[in-house]
Amino acid sequence: MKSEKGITLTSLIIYVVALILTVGFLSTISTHFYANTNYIMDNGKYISEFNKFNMYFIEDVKNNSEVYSIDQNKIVFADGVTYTYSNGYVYRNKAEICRNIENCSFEQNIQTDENNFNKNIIQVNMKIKGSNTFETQNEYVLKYW
Amino acid sequence: MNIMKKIKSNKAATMSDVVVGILIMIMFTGILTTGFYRVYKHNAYIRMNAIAVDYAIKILEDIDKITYEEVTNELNSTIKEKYNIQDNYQVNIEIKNYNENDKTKEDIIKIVTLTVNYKIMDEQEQYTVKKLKIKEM
Repeated sequence: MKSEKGITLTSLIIYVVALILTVGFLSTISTHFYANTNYIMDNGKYISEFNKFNMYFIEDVKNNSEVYSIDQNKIVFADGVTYTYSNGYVYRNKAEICRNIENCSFEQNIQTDENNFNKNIIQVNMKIKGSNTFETQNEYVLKYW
Repeated sequence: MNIMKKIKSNKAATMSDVVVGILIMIMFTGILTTGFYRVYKHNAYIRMNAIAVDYAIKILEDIDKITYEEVTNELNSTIKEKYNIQDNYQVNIEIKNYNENDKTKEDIIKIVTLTVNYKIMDEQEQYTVKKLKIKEM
């Protein structure tokens, strides 16, 4: 360590360049290796916004057996709870619960089974803005018991 | 020209200078890499959990859509294809009759336990949710 034998600037530059090339090569390989994880991560980014909506919506769906009124961007449950989509936001009554939403629409269907039992189904279509637009469609069954 | 002169110069850095420089670089790189890794892992955990929750919601809502008689452990055989579940996730449904231990009670409620298993960087995670399936009457 105390020796004054040195290495020239040229060789130092060569070492650093070789180091950068090696790190770059390893990074490229690991990027391909984690490509699948990144795909899931990207989807998860959008789904977490949708889960915020689900957190409130499922509770209201299971508390109500009927819908008072429904149109493209608004649903009013029998107990008065209202969900509205407006200008990129989804509101539960007057509270904002989701943001960065490109579109959110509600639709009601009635499903009849072989025993002629009817179930009210609410279909929610949601498009979430981001680097890619994420679209999801979920169906919720209103309280039938 | 100045740069070329500097490169061609035989003025050298001593081994001690280089070793100290590299040690400092390794220390800082280590700190930064650990920080980035932790943030990435935490981020991945939140997002993969969000996907697991989404699968669970879709499946459990579909269980409410189908009839009481159709809710059996047989659902496991079609679940992966039906919900297009990614390879990193394993979903399992377990159905038990509420009156299993007391047959004097009427068979009108089933207990549905849904488990989603997934791996994040070799760590196994699990999301479990239970719900009651009530007979249509």
